[in-house]
Amino acid sequence: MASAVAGKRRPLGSLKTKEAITGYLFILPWLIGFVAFTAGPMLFSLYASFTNYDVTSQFDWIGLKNYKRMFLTDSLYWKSMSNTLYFAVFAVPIGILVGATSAVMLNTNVPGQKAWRTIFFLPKVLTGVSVVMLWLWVFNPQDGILNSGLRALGIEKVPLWFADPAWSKPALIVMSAWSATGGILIYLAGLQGIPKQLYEAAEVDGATTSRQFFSITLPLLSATIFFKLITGINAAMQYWQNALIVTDPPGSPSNSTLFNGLHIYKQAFKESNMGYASAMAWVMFAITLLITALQFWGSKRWVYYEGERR
Amino acid sequence: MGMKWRKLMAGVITAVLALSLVVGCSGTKKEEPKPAEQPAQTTPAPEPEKKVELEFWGWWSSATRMPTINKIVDGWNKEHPNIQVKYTFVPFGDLMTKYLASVAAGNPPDVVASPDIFTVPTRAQKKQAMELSTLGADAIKDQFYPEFWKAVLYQGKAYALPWVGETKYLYYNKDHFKAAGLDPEKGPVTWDDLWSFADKLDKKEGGKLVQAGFHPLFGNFAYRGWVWNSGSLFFDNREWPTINTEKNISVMDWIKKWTDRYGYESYAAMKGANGSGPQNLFIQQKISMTIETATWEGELKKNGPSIKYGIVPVPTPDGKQFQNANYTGGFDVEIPVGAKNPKQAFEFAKYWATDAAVIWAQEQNDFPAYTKAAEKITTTEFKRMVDNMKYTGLIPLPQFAPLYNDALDVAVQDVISGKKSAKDALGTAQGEIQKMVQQNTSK
Repeated sequence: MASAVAGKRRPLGSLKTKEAITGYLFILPWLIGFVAFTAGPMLFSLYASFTNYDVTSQFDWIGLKNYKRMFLTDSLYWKSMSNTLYFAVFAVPIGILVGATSAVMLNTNVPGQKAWRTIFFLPKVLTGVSVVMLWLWVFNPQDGILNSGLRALGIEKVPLWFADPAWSKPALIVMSAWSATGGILIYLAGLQGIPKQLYEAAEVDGATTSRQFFSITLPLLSATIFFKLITGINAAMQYWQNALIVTDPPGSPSNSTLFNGLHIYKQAFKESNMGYASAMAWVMFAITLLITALQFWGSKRWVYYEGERR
Repeated sequence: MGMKWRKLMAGVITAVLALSLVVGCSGTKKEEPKPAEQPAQTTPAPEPEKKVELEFWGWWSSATRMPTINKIVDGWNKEHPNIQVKYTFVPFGDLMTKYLASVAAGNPPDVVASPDIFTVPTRAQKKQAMELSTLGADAIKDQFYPEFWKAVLYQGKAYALPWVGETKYLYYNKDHFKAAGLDPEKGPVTWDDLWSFADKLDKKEGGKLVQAGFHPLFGNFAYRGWVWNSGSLFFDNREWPTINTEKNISVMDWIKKWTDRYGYESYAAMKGANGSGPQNLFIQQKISMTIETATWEGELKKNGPSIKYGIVPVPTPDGKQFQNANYTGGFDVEIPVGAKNPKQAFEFAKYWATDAAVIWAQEQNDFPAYTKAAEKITTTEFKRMVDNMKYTGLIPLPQFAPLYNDALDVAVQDVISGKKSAKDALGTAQGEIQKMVQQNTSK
């Protein structure tokens, strides 16, 4: 291991080798945990995806049967993928928009700036089932404040939110947009990293605030936005717990909130089809990996890193 | 100060972190269970001498239930110093998942109360529930009602002990009846009664529905209950689905008629306002008639003490009562595969399903599967339940489509929201359930 670590031929016991071994020893606890609790189970589930594993009674190899069932006969699978995609396509950009604009607003020197930052950060801290239940009341078709507000604005036919298959996902997207303000921390950090001299120079040259925003703030914030984009897409592809809490039965109405994760959960734990659920999970992993790879490839065009030369 | 101080602080922080790691990882101490003895062949052997602690999982933690649980468990513990039982609360939504996970992990509890007697054969087949016939279950099978006993069998052997079932009534608000000019002593008998009574009971204030007479889906009764109530079934003798028959479609249309009576928006708003405990629509006095279990009467008395209510059997289309007029699930008690002390666990499970069930029935108003309970309990509530059990069906889950209700739920939502006609929605459900059966029979 010693020579392989260094990559070149070095005498045993050299300083670099010693440093390398020390480094590995330091990360050994994490490495053991990773292999035992993450990589190991992942490989197990990859194997299980080719079997009829049901946790307690059978574990026979069945080849590609699970994958065939997923793509060819399971109509709920395609429904769950389209639900997840719908959510990702809308929730991620909206989340980034909300987070970034909130952060830009909170970066200006307004009175009570610290208080505002705390208020906007609250959604990050207010999590859990109780918050989701409160949202249910907000979205109540007759008595909820959202629809009452819409009616006060003169809208007669208000959406029925969780009672209507067409409006249940938008309701969840609104909920996730509210939570997105919790991400201002990362954006604020990114904004603080932009040198003030650039703004001063631009102002001297006569640039308007909006010109400054588009030509200075956005490009220099692009690395942060890229980070939020990747993590946002990951989170959206795995979004389903709120659907479990909010809808009764889960996935209603008419399977409009049956996200991929919820479908996997039902198959794994309600029908004990652990092998099939593992197959679906690995397909989702592959899709997310592909999307992330595409984002990295595309990032060359719009993400500027500090100190980079174009 | 400086270097020495920093080194000291680093040492202190490391020590604190290490200590917390050790404390955090040690977990709770559990008495090492003794190895199990060989299960007896016909009659259970006398209690072994060594002391054993059994872990018993249930989903109750409320102030309504806990006194009875504690009474039963403490009473058992006093009588059986060598078999001590510890009750552990597991939230209802997590119970079955945790049960499965614990069997897979190899450290399951000793006894589990299960809220779904109809999935016992599934758990038996999947080697999750232990076979109890050889532990002594067959010896006591005559102590249970035959319908309940049938439900716990898989390939002729028992894999659980039936515990309680329920029965459902139609509750109605006598004050609302009086105010509407209806006789408060005469509850509805037919489906038409429900409709005509509701005509007088509905109340609107400024265009908004504030009191609904009735809706088939507000209460503890689902579409499948109404199908059974109308005399129809979902599966034929060969367990092949017969979902979209004329009868079933007409029941769906009936439910749609009720939804259209109020408008889908009002229906959805009312449904959204429904909750548990004091938030129940009937207790909020937002609906005048509802269907709930017999055991719910306790909640009604506690959370709505001022409500004067009447109880009648669930109305049928023609008013005649029969075995499937209302339906019940059933609860049972099981021993997970891998439990360390099956013999002692069975002793407690047997007690739970027989004598303890009587205590439970007396205090919680459930209906035990234990036949002798009817001799021991003579309250009016219990007599009423025994009478109503004649009209309560114990309809098992089809073996090859245990999740058929998921497809029915989708169909109901599609119809009442106006997305699909009853015929189309049930046609889709028929297709889905057929697929389920084919998928499960080809495994």
